[in-house]
Amino acid sequence: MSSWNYVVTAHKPTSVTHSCVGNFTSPQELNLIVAKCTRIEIHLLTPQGLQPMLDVPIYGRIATLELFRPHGEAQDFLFIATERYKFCVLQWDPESSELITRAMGDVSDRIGRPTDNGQVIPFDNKGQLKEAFNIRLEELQVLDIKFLFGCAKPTIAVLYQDNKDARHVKTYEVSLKDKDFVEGPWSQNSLDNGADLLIPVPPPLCGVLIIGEETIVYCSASAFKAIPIRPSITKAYGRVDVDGSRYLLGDHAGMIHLLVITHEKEKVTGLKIELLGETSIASTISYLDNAVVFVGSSYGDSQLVKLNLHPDAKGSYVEVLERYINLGPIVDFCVVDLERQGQGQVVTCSGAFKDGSLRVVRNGIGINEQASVELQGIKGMWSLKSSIDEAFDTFLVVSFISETRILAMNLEDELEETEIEGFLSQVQTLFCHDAVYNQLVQVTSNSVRLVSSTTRELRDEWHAPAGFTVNVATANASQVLLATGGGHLVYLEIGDGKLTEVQHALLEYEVSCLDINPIGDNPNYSQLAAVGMWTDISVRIFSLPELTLITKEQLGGEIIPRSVLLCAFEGISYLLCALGDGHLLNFQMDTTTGQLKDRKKVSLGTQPITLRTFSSKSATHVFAASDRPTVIYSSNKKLLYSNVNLKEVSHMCPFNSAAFPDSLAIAREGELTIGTIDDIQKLHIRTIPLGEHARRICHQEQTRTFGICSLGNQSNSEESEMHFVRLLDDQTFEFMSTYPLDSFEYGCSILSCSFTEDKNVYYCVGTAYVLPEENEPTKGRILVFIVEDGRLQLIAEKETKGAVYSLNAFNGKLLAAINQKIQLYKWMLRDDGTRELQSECGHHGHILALYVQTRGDFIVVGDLMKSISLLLYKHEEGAIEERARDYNANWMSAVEILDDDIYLGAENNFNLLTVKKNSEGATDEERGRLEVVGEYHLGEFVNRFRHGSLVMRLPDSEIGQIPTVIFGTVNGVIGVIASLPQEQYTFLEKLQSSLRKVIKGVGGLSHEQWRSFNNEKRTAEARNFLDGDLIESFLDLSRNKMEDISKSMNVQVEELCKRVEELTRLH
Amino acid sequence: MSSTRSRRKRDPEIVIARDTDSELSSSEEEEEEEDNYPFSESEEEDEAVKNGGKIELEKNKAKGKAPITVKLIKKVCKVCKQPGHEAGFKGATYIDCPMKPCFLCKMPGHTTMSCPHRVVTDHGILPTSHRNTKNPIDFVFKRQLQPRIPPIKPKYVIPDQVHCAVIRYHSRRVTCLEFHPTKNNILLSGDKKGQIGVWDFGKVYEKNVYGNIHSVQVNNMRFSPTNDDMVYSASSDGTIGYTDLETGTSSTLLNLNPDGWQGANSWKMLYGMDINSEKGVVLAADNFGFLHMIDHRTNNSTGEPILIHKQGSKVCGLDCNPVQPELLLSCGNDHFARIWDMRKLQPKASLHDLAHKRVVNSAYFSPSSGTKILTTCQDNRIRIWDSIFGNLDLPSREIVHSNDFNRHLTPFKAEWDPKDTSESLIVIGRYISENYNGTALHPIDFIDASNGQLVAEVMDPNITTITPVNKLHPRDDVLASGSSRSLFIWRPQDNTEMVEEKKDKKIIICYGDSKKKGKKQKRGSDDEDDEDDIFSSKGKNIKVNKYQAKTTKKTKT
Repeated sequence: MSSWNYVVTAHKPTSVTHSCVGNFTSPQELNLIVAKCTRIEIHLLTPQGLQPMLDVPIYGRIATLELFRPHGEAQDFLFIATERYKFCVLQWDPESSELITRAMGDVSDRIGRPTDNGQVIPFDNKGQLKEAFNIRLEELQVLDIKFLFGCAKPTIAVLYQDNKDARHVKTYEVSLKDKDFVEGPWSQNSLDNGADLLIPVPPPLCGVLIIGEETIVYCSASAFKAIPIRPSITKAYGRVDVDGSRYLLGDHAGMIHLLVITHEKEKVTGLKIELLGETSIASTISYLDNAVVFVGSSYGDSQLVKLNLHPDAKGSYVEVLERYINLGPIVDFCVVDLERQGQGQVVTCSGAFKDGSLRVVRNGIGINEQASVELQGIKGMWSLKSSIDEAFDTFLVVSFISETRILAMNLEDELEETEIEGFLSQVQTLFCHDAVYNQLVQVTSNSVRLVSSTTRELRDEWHAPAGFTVNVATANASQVLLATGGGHLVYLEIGDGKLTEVQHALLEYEVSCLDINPIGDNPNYSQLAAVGMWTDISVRIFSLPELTLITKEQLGGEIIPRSVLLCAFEGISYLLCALGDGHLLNFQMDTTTGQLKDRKKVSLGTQPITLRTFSSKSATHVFAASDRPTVIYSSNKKLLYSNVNLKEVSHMCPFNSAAFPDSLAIAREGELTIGTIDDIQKLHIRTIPLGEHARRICHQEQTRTFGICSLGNQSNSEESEMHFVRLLDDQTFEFMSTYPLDSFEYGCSILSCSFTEDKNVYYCVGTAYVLPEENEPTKGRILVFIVEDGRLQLIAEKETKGAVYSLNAFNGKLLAAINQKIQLYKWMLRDDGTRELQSECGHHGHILALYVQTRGDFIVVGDLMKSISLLLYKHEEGAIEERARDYNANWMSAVEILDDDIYLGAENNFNLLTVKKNSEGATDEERGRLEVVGEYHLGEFVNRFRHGSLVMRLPDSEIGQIPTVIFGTVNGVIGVIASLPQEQYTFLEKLQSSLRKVIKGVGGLSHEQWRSFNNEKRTAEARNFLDGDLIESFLDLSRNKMEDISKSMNVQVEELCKRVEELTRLH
Repeated sequence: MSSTRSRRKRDPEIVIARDTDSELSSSEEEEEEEDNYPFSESEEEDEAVKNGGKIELEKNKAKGKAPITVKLIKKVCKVCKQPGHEAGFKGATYIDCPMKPCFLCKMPGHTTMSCPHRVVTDHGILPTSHRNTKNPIDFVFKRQLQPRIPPIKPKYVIPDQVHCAVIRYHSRRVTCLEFHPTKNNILLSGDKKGQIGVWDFGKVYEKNVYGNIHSVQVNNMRFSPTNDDMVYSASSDGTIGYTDLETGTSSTLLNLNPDGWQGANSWKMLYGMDINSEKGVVLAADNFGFLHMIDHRTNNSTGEPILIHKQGSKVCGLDCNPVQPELLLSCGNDHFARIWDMRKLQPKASLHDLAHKRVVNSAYFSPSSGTKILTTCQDNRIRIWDSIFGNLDLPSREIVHSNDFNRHLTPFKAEWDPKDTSESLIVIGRYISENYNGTALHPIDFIDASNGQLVAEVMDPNITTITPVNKLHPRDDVLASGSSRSLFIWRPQDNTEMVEEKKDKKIIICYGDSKKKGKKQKRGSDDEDDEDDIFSSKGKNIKVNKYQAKTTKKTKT
């Protein structure tokens, strides 16, 4: 049963909805405050750029964000109002660097009518906020309300539309005594039909700017000035000067204009407008300082831009200084495993219009490159210290096929080639290591050399017997183990200036890899040696120094071990063994007996793997270099695997130098890179700009392609939009092929599927003809494509009687949602050998069947406004029947099937719900009803659910058994819904309620209220959903608070930490 | 027979109830009036008393009880009794009397046939621009980028095909209908005789009539908000019944005529009724303008009756606001609909009075937001106020619609579609008949209240009676209508591309009261005489040409 769900954010919202600038953190500091729907970020302006100071969640969707300065205060306060009519006033606490709530309240009105065009909360800059009250406004269709400057009494200007669709502005004075409106000083009738925005002009000019689609009007009691503009829809504005004479306007196409109010003293003489250039499509514009402007965007990346005095070569005054990644709006996405290694990647259709892009979101570890140099053919790398007691590494030994080069840090903290006289540099080095007594060890194919790290001179040398060469070698500070051809295993010990051959063994096969990494108590000496073998494909454990065989483990298969490693994580010893095909075996090892147990196998890549340990943040990790570099680490005594976001690493060694502390040296693709490693488990995002708006995406594994439905950028609004089906390579993301749709034809759905009795895979695309004269599409097509030689070939097409909103593969057939109807098509072979879609049966009775998911013979439909219904396909009758329905009037935005009985839905009011099939109902009536079992306010508009996971799901771990669904939202959130076992859910529910008492919402907003299911009709406490973000914030609490919770739960802090940490591995 | 398969059936299941009621059902109201229906003689009931006598006289003449006189009827107009022209029906076509203003819009200068409100489908209202009626596909894609956009009005689903019926179920005309709040297939119906029917239209045959609850006309029924099996009913016998639907046991919560009949001047009748679930109060209003309240937890009346409409005038309807139950809407024969604050109920203390030209049959708040008001007035107009917060002096829209009648019918009431979240679809029966292939039919109209457009007119050639009582199902795409003594369930036509086997119709016929059989057939038959209804005939001919004549339906998008 998947009734108990855990909702957690994997990628926070990135779509910027509001921003403002002011002195918030101190009277001298200028801050940019950015709202990302349910979060606020506070930045400090520094000469170097924006410096983040705080990023906090808000228990509400932010509707208004304003800075204001009450009388007598030296710095600004922040006013926030949420879409659920809560408001709060926040002040910065410099001591704790936190926000203090100065005031809060609720301005909701049970019977108030939400405005059609989004919420408008005007804000009087002189406001004292003594008391909040509601005033009824006669106008029904209010487009904008703003307080005016320079009026004796608080005065608002209201932009509204009458019932003949004409737009007017009226002013009202607020009579505080009567709590009512009094007719204001002026009004202006019959404005531009597109007038949509009011900008109040501060003193000395006062008045208001009314921004239309074709005109801009300045209006006040005494003046009226207008200028025509190029048709555009202004989405955002930012005031440049305090006196309000210049404004930046951002339009729907991402063009940024400067509007100037020309005036003689306090008399307005006219308006001027000038195009400055192009940015992301702005949702908010904040002028910072020195011609630097923050452009917040909901449709593309937000930007920091500089407005130059002189245009560049293209005539643009805009120079982009910085970009802030925004995934929103995630219109669609798919979960793919491009490298076929069990870790999902999310490929999103992000952004809108010209800012449309695909984003590849991958969970993995990033490398922050510090330095890199082009070096081809690296065969091995080791770092060495100048003395064994030193904290930092000095040398970096880089081995090539026929030479060895040594790099060292010079006085300028640069890496510079140097020499160690005692080392052989004309041959390949097989292994290097620091050794006791300030010595260094170099193993080449003919000898082992012991060199003083101080004098850098050779102190001793061991030579391979004549006729034998050393094939593989390993060493630690006091031991060397090497294997020569013919299966000879030689064990040496390092003394002060002396190499002693202690033991020799002859094995029946050649040795492929070796390791003597000390995992016992002595960090310089290992009592065990791990040896990988050719031919019998085994790994053996020998004791040292006797070199007697303790354990032999057959690996099975035909792939030889290429790298073995002895390591210990959290007190547990492991033997890791990497194979030539990218698989990794791990065993737990008993260090005294050498016994191996708990054998596990995972696939990391497809190429041979080289294993190395490194430490980061004082914990030991293992780096597996291969075509899919991976970091292996342990948490709660479990081995975890996380991708490194680099392509193909051949060698890695830790290189902890003074200039590059905690760094890694990485050899890859002809390059040597030195960099630090990111925090483990961070999402990595790659952007593929499309320059057009992708609406639907799917992946076809067989042809290694993506199919997208996109809409061409309408640079010229008079042209009708062009829609395409495009084929992209899943590695390079280049367009391989394009199928243009007819004029007025939209691509609405895309699916990769195959049919019964046909082994080909096809792309099916559902379309709709959206004709301007029609109220609803009455015609569409289903196009069936095959990919041949990287091109889309149209195989069949079927006309439909409406828009094809959804396509699903269903019982070897094609299930389409077409307007009010679900329709099933068979794939039929015609006499002439061609194929066609033939309709088999259908089901009516939806308002609009928008979202369809299937499981077996069951079909779950998310309706535009009739919530979720369950249909059943009856094979014998060839008919689809309704089985059950949720009778609530939910406007669905996505649905998914969690299991046979539980279905998940997201709806228009930012809620999630689960419904349950009631097969055991006593009456038809009961069975015909989907029971709502879970409700939760997500606060995000979900556009798509998909089964899958962003993290590598290891089949043996508990967490790997938890089914998860990924969702993508308008604000760029990627989230995970995990269906937990009941016991775990109950436990976490207790934890959540304890956390609610300890973690207080910013502005005093209640978590319980925020997560309560809420729509126009009712509000109900959240049930059967848990807020993972809140629960996981347990780990950020101070020890004291953790203990408080531990006490109230009667569970040990460690146990709580462990259980919460486990959950963090879901995303 | 299961209710789930219902969608695929194309043919209605019709039950013709066996009339077990042996009681004589003739009263003056049963009698036929003259057929000149456009002669709008029906005034408010309080005024109608005067006219009543005259009508009865004429009736008696028509029945031939008066001394034989030979009238040259054809020479005088049936409407204005003036010679020289003819008016009335010729076949299914109605000819106007030139001496009278238009029957439909009451405006002089044209005839009903040429009335602009009849010719144009939007009922003479200039369509406002369709701000919210964007293409659904644009809505779906736009919403993906910017969720807070105004919702669209999706294409209306019109239940336009008779799915099943019980013919002559009630022994007198149906006066009100109510769907069960949780059981989807249960329909309650009240009739003029005071009976309450419980019909499971999913099973078609399962029906029951309780005759012990009221002695005359049931005017309104409401389910108990706390118990799905209990129903309140207000009746013209001056009582409120509280009935257990399972058992039929009923108690009387309020009896305004404890002393029985003391003459027409003191006989109190209850019409409007609604429940304020928040306060737990049942509200009912009488024909003298008073509002009565009953606490439904104790089932005792609370407080004194309060005069809410003109003293001595009938209060036709009551409606509590769905969002703010303190707001009460009443309407009545004093030509007003009034908005009240229940916390400040006293005579003449209404928050607002909405003036009408004639009797207001019904006034309802919109079902989900409660911010719109819909009224039906005898002046052939449906009025809509788009917001109770706006200017209420004038309605936002007046839709001319034929609902003024001159015969004994249950008054027409425009009803909201409770499923329509845009709160714009309304349903109302039409009085005036239209000529459909030679048959005069009275369609049921679906109107878009936001622009006055006629969305659909639905009718069935077999229903020749007028259908004044209509109710849309709160969850399913089902319309229940009461026409004369019969009930009909309508569902949307299934226009699947697939060919389906036609299923035999199931029809149960109940032979009507034999006394009524002798009646002559009349064209444009009234609510009470359904003898000409083909369903009523022996039950054999039913297979003949049912639905041969295609159900006519016009759908404007």
